[in-house]
Parts: sequence; structure tokens; C-alpha cells
Amino acid sequence: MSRPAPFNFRLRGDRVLISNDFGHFLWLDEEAFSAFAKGTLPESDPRFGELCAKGFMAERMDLTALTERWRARNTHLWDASCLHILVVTRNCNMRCVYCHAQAQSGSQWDMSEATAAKIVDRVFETPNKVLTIEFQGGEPLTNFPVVLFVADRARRLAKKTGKELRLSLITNLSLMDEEKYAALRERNIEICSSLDGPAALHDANRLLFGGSSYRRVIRWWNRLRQDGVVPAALLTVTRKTLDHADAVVEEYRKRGATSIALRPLNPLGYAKTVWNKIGYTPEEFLAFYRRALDRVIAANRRGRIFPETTAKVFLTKALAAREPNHMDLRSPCGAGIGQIAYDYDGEIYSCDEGRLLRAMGDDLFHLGHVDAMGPKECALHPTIRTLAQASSLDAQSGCSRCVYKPTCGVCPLLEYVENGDLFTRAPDSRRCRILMGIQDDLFERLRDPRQRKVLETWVDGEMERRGDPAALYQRT
Amino acid sequence: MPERLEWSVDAEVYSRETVFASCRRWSAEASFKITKKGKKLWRVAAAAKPGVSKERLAEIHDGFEDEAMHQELRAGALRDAGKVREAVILRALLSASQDPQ
Repeated sequence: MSRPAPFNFRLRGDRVLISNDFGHFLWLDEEAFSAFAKGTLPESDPRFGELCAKGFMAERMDLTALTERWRARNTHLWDASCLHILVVTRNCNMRCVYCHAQAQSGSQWDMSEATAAKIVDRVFETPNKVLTIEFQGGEPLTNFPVVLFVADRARRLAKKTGKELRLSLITNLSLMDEEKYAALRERNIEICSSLDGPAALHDANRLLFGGSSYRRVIRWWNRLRQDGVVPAALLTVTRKTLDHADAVVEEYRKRGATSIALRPLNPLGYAKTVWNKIGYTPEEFLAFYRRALDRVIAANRRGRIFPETTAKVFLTKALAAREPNHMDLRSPCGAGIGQIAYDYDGEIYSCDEGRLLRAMGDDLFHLGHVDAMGPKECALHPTIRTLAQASSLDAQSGCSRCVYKPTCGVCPLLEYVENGDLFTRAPDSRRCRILMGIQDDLFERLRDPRQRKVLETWVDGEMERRGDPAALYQRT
Repeated sequence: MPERLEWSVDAEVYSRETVFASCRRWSAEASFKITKKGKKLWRVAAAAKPGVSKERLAEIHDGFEDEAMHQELRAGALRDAGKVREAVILRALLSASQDPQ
């Protein structure tokens, strides 16, 4: 017999899922759980050994191994901002129904080369060895010269400072042409676009005046595939998507995508104003998610590895004890200490969503201007300290005792938008209900040996280990 | 005269700080006066600020105890996690504010 070490638990039917801060999970039946919690589980019980090995028994803990595991799961605590988001313009040629960025029209919203130069220099003040610059908008291709200017300047600085640099462009692809495409490929800039499903669905969500945005995405998607590059794509789920889970997954699979990101809509930007038309409840989203995940798992059984990216983040944390550093699924979140967003005019925000909130008239997440502050000043800013506190799961009433604490994360900004408070209202908040539902579903699936076999292949790093070339293009 | 509403909250469950924190959530919409009534109750008197309806004040009343419960749990989580939480946050902030290598 042994006293239980600190643990969290969740009752699911007649079984109980338990977890601890080392990121170990275990299913127990009610009887074993009751004995474990009371400290009366006999050593002869078949689960006793596993409970000891996983750090659930207070007097039988291998603290050296468990500490190493804790450290591996929290590598982000020893790192600085690796993701720098540059909004090179707020100008956009499309009018997507859910636009989170509140796109504008006109060149007055373009970033100047002078501002871009200051930002790039600031980015390289970050202590990280590996940096990612992500071009965002608006539509970055409407201010293409500045994209190239930033890429060239950043590559020079990376060479000079010995840092590893990754460049990524988030684009709707509608303004892509051969010249731009060649310039991007020459500079090794990754291209990420949106694909919201089959043509009718995509075009209904992503409005392009004078044509089909779907056709343009697919044209360049095919071009990238011809060149041996698998393009990354993001899917935003609107109310229209909910009845088409199978079609959406099939579209991604048919187009040779190496993953699919089933992302719920957030009530930000234009999406907030038309929420009653395109929004949905967490339960409606979860029904869609479960159906889509069934289809994704079935597609995996038929051939190559094709993960859903949110599930992949959770599975990597739960099964491999690694931190994938997903900015809003870590504790504390990445605001200002994992990512920084720079607006077209050099204003700095805790994250891209903070920038969107400013566009909606609320400057709570505004940190300052690039003329006056760099990454160091951002990390020490009182707003960032507050956000770290508000996203530390140990400080949240609903999260500190949740079984999914080792795998989950909160977004103070979304909580603030929803409830007017940076601290989460879990388990009632919309985001919590979605993430808890997804994790409930995933941990149930892990109990089924056939599904577990598929899900284990999604763990970050597993594809590389198996030599799958698509691993190079996996994104979380 | 502004709309007014009064109610009681269990003082054995909710601390003074939690009741204050709950009031702060709606301080833009109402003014609050809190008094102790015996050993077991807090008496909360709310007066709507200009432009805030009677119905809205009733909603604030309905949500008040939920908010107090949330604040009480949060205070508990902050107390329990204590120094570990502070150490984790400090570690994250320090790493991010290092000088470039």
C-alpha cells in the first residue's frame, strides 16, 4: 500500500482517468481508483507497478526520471519568443465572412521598409537560436516588396548572428503569380493558405470579387505539389461547415494534404459581428469534430499518415512527453514570451489576436512601439506578466484540478473577449468546453487498440522517425 | 432614483476579498455597499449606475454568487499552487527577457 501523490482525475462512465504534473495519464476502474485514492491499493494489484512507475505513488517515486520528464514537457520555460508575426499590411483583396483580422482597403495600411527594417533588427534581439518570422495581413501579397525586403534582411542577419531562420507566408493565394512564386521559392519562404473545404463551401466563406477563391488556391496548391512541396493549409469551421465533415476531410485527402487543422471559429473581428449567422455552440462543433476525426482516422488506415493538428498537439504531450510549443496550448501561454506581433505601423502586441482586438477598439494587449521596445522589454512588460499569470494553469480555478492540465492551455485574450476577464471561467467557457470535449474524445479513442495504433503515429517526431517525407511539412 | 437591489451571501463560504472581487466585476454598471450581518452573512446592496436597467441589475444579482464561487476557487488555486506557480512564471519571463546570445 502507498499514499497517492498529487493527482487530478475525471470520471468517464464507469472508469476514471487520472493524471499528474509529470504528464502521465492512466485509466482506472472505479474500484481501483477508490482504493488508490484511499491509499489502500495492495501491491499485488496489477496496476500498482504502473502507478509507481508513473509517479502516482508518493513513497515510490523515481524523482530523477520524473524531474527529467517534467523538464522535457516544459522546455518552453527555458526559451524566448520564437514566433514573430509581421503584419506587413492590413489591406486585403478578399472579404471572408469570418475575417478575424478586420481587413481594410488601401495602401495606407501597408508597412514601410523603414518600419520593417526596425522590426527585423528587433526580432534578432531575441535570445533564441531558432526564429520564425511569419508574414500576416490583410493579404501580405498586396505589399510584396516589403515581404522580400524583410526576408532578405532577415537572412543576412541570421547568417551574421548564426541563428536558424524560418520564414512563413500566410496568404489567400489569390494574387499569386509566377514572378512572386519564384521569388518566394528562391528565398525558401514557406507558403500557408486557407482551404475551407470543397469549392462551394470554400467560396461561400472566402469571398473574392470577380472569381472563385477556391480555384486560385487549388491552382497554386497543385503547382506547389508539382515542385515537391506539400502546402500547409488551415481550415476554419463555420456553421456552414458543420454538416460537411466528410466532404471537408475528403477534400484535404484528395488534394494530397499531409494534415488537416479542424479549427473552431473565434468571436473576433468580423466573426463577432455576424456570430448569429456563422457561429455555433461548442457542442455543435464537437459533434462535427468527432465525425471528422472518424473520417481522418479511417483515411489513415487506408494509407499514409494524415493527422489532425489539434489532436496531434495533445497526443504529443500525452504520449511523448514533449512540448510542441503551441502558443495557446501551453502554460503559461506564449503571449509576449513565445510570440510577438508587429502591426503595419510598428506597434507591438502580445499576440496576433491582441492586434485584432486593438483593431476592434480595445488596446489592452498593446505593448508599445518598435522604436522604443524590443523582445526583452516586451517580456518584462506588466501586461505580459499579467498574461503569464492569467494563463498559468496552476492559477486557474477550473484548470488547476483538471485531469487535462498536463496537455491543455488557456487563452486569456479569448476569455477576456468572452467574459470580460483574463482569468478563465473554465469549465463553462466556450474554449474550455471545446478543448475538454476534444480531449475526452481522444482519451476514449486511446483505449481502443486499433485507434491507438493510428493516433500514436501522429505524435510529433514520430513521422520523422519513420522516415515519412511529409514530416518536413507538418505544422502544429 | 437609481434602481436598487439587496441580497445576502454566505459569509462562512465566501471571504470578504471574494465578495469584493465579485463586486468589481460589475463595478462599471453598479455601485455596491457590503456590510456584515451577524457572523454568517454578507449583505450586498447594489445601486444601478445611470443607463443600467432594472432587468440588468437583476441579472447581476443572479450571477453574483456564481462569480463569488469562481473567485473563491481562484483564490484557492492561487494559494495551493503557491511558490511553484511563481517559480514557473518567473522562469518563463526570465528566459524571454535574456540578452541575445
